[in-house]
Amino acid sequence: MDEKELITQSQEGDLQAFNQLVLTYQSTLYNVAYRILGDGDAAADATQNAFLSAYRAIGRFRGGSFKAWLLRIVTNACYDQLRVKQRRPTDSLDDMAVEPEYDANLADDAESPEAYVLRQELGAVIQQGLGVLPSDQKVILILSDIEGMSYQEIAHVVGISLGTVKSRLSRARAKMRDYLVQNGELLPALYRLHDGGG
Amino acid sequence: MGFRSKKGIHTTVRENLSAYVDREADAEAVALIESHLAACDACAWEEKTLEQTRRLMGQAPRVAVPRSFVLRRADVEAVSKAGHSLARRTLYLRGVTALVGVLLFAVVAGDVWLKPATVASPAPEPPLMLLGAPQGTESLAEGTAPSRLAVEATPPPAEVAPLSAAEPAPAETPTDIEADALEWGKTTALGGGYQGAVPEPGEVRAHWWESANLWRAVEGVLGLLFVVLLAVIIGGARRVRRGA
Repeated sequence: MDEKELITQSQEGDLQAFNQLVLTYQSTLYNVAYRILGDGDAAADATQNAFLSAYRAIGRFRGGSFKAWLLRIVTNACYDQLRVKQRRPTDSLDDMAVEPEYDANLADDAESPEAYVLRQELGAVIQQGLGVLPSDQKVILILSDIEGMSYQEIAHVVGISLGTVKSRLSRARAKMRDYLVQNGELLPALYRLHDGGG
Repeated sequence: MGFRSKKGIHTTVRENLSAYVDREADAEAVALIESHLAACDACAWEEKTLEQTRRLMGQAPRVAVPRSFVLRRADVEAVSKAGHSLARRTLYLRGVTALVGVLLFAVVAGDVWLKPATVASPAPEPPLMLLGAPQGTESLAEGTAPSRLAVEATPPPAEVAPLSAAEPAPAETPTDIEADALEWGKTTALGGGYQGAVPEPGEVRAHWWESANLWRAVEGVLGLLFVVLLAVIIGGARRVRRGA
């Protein structure tokens, strides 16, 4: 069954059909939420809330990119989580960053176990670098460089103009570059920024 | 792109480098950036490191989903119930807001209609003098409208003998409030404290609804309540829109 048909059935209240869409997009939504929030539990909550909101609102979905529509909902759910976190900052042991479990299935088949471990180290440093960015820049950098979305798609997801996407992404990427240069020793040698290439 | 702007060429190029490495810069920008990069090592380094950053970000491993996010019927029904409850609360809130709006309108209309009688006097005068003089005499503050009380407490002009500076004010049957004021004068003269309500200097009150302060206070409270309720409704609607 194709996506359009699943959406139509979901709009008629078919939960099974909607769950097919959940299975298709849950990894994308969870990864975006994880990169924005930097916390597995908070990301899981945001993802679950996003799917519940999407199910309730699917009757109002008027076509276009379903993925972009879902990403818009999950980024809003993440902003809500960040607001709650800002209002109630806690330092309990539960809130300490825990190393995430990376998706071994998506690793390149040609990738050696050593290279896979190095890539996980890269992932941890990138997550730390994202942590220093303001939320609005972080979201755009994640959608562009991790999810590989075009400027037009990002503008649609975030609800801002193309020009704003350009300027925010420019600032965000420059800040991330500065972070990676300053913390080069945290990166495996393979990934350090230098004149000769990355 | 505005390359002829007052910004330096380096700033202009660097602002567009990110779009350039994403192949999202327009043709004019691409031409300018490429000619500049050939001649400027600092901007070339910027371009190279931004490109490397973009590539590194793309190599970040994906995080495994900790559990399935498939929705269960019970979750959906719970959210649906919560949604109905929210809708009911929103409906009540709108009803209360409408009621407060109507009340506010009624109070403002009442305020305008009843015109609260407050006679401002620059200097405090004994109430007796103020109340005892007929309407139109100089004992009332100039330029102020006579209060409803003053009109009620004063005999009709036709029955009042012309008043001159040499003649004393004609004897009149004192009204309740005049008697009140007389009593105040007596007790004050005798050194005893007046036990009843003493009007503020310059203010003549006949009925509670003629107190301007009371009207202002009620209008203020209702207005504030109305604004707060509106803000809550608008905020709630925005949250619902963003959540979906």
